[in-house]
Amino acid sequence: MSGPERIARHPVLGEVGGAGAPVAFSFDGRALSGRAGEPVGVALLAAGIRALRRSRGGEPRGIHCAIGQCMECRVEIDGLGVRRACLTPLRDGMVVRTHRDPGAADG
Amino acid sequence: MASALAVDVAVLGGGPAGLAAAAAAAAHGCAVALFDEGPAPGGRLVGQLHRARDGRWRVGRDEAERLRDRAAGAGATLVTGVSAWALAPGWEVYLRGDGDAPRRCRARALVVATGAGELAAPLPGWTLPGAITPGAAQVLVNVHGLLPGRRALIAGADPLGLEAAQLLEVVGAAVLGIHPVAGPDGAAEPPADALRRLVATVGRAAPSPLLRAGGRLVRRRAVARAAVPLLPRTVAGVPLRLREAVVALRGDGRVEEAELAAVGADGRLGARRRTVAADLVCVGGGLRPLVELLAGCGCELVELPGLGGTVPLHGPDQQTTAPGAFVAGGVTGVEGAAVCAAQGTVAGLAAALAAGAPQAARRELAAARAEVARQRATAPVRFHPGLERARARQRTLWEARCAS
Amino acid sequence: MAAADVIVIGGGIGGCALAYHLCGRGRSAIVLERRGVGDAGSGRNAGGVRQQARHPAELPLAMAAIERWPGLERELGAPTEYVQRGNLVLAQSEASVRRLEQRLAWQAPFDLDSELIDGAQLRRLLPFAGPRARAALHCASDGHANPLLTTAAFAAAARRRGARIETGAEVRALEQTAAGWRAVTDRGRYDGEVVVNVAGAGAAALGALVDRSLPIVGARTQTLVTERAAPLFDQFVQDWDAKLFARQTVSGNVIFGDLTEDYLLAGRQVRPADAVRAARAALDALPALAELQVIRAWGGTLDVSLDRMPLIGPLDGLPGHFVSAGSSGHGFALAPVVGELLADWIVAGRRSPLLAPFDPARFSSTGTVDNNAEQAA
Repeated sequence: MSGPERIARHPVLGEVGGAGAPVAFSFDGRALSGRAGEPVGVALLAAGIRALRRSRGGEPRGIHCAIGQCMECRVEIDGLGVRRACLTPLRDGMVVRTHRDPGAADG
Repeated sequence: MASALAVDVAVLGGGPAGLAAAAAAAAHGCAVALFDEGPAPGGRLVGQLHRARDGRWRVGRDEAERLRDRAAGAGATLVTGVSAWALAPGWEVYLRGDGDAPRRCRARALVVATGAGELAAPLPGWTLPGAITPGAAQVLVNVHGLLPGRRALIAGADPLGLEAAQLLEVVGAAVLGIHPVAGPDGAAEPPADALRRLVATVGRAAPSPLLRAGGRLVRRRAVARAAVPLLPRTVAGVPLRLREAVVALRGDGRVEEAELAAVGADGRLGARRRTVAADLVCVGGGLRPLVELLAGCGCELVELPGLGGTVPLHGPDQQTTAPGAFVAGGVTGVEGAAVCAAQGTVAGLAAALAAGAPQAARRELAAARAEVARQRATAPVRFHPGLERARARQRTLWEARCAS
Repeated sequence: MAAADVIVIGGGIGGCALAYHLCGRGRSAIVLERRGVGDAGSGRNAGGVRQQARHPAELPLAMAAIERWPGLERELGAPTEYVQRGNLVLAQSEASVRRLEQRLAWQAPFDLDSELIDGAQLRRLLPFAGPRARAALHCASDGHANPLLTTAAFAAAARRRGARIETGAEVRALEQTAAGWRAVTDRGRYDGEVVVNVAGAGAAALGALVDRSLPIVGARTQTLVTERAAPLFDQFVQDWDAKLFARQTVSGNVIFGDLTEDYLLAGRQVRPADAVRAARAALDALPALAELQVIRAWGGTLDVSLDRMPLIGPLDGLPGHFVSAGSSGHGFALAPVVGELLADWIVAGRRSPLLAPFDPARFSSTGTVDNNAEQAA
């Protein structure tokens, strides 16, 4: 099965998604690119990255509600932990890291 | 932006209710600040997209933009990317956001329009990446232009699930079916009950003529049971499978397949299992009003399942039991965007009056209240069967509270 | 309409532990709780399980209680997250150091492993102590536990022994009957030979139903919880100058809040100004917490008595009517042993000397525990 993909043109809505300029950011050291202003989690999904963190039991977790309510998508952004990837707009040069709960298995 | 703001009316939540409230209050001369957590106002409305019974698409994004422009045009300040974490009567709103986002906002009156959040429908594997809520499908596809998967399954046969099926299908995902979710006790909703519930909630708006026509008949349980085998095979091109429940999701690091079980007439699951490959599963358990901020400041709350859960006790002008605090939208009970916006107008007018706006605002209140009733009566979707009863009960409780 | 030997009013840890022990002694018990089990003080307190720095009247009771805690999980068959890694009371000011010395003096007659340590020793035990802490009282056998889990564990164990726990049952009237007492709630009437008021912040209102004025008021507590962090400390920490308590749970969250009982109003509201003050106090005492985000907060109630000591015992002129309330923020640790001793008293008519200082009758004479202690001396 293929990965997540950006919708070039929506049959009803036309233009959808971030219209910002392409910007560079990193996720756990990996160099990636996304669109300025779109949620960090969306940029990660577009890059094929679904797992944003590991739970205490070592399970992969990612975006679940996409609207900031569930806290499943929490990542560390520019040194600050517990940031919601589904709400935080992507900026050029952002350093994103997996949020690790203490005691989580290395993943 | 200053770290401490002082306004006449503070609006919490930038969905249709909040935007309408901000517009109404600002139009009557109040200094209004609206706060929303998201990067842009519009709430859940922005991602909404569904085909109405006349076949035309209702585009939430356009409606949200209209509401946004009206609020901003009336002079309200819209502050995004900021969360309200507490309220103190008086009123003082405690905020948190990045950079130079305001930390406090003092207001003479408050409109709390924090909306409703999605409930989980936990089943084994529901935390796998790729298992998202139906609301998340709306946001990711329609707002952010991202299709998170190509083979989708809808777990949760309710209005949100149906809408998710539609919006995924229209962008070319293969939507394999709409199924109920098996409960932790190893049973699912009896298909006849699921049908009646579907009809009671989406019957009016159902894209399926059969569901619409059969609506009134199916309300009788015996007829519903007989009708189950005659169920439309598809709803908007997506198979509706009330007799097959999702029991588990599986995959290596992400959703890869869903396990299904047959549901007997009494809701018991059959022993036979079927597995389908899917990389996107919308798992939905309904919506519930987000009342935490209100609970923290002493507003009386009441539990009404027909409204989706716990709601603030409120009167006809959307006033709560806390002086100067008004509520509107999904936080008062789960209803569609048009009803939310109409409530927002009432709340905005009432808040403006509480904050000292000229009495001209009062003249518009009656019409605004009537608009709520009108929108409610013509709403295409009821998120909970028993909504009218619950609203009536809420009114009774409010009147009793006033009398005491 | 239901009946039991004992009607226990209040479904916190006090009521549940009492019911558990009553049933263990062959009596039947019904617990009437107006909201949910552990909903008020029991589910929202700091979770400290300590002996040191208590009023000497409470110390023997506390020391007896500490003996119960290590085996409690096993006994109740449910987790309590009890950790016995010490209690530290930090002092920044001279005045606080002197108060700690006074506590030490109070403790002298008892064989308690509590000692006054200097700044250097403190930082060996708690590297994260802020720069201003100059001394601390340290007791190695103290610790902390999870209040909600422990309350739930007692409730489940009580049920297993046959106790009935009715939630959503607020007592509206209390009447004396030929056989004893009748509690009237919206959910029905409950008859018992004995009735016990374990209603915490609601104890005074309940006392008013039988025309008794109990000197207990509700006070607000404010607690904040951080995101999970790597293990930072395992003691229960208090700072008298910062007016703070803090502990780190087994999950890694740091739970902290104000120590002050200045908020003499009941209510579960989170008052933002209090939350901000608590956060500042935490940073003052434990600056390392600055890196952590606060993820939630709760408001709770304490039942505070006039002399800040519990009222435990029968009420004058009301046969078969007991009260056990007013633990004033330091009752959680004592609950396992108070439940047992009170059950003994009710069943066998024998009062343990450990409970003697808490006779409710003290308020009808000259008053407080201290006054009575002076008189007795």
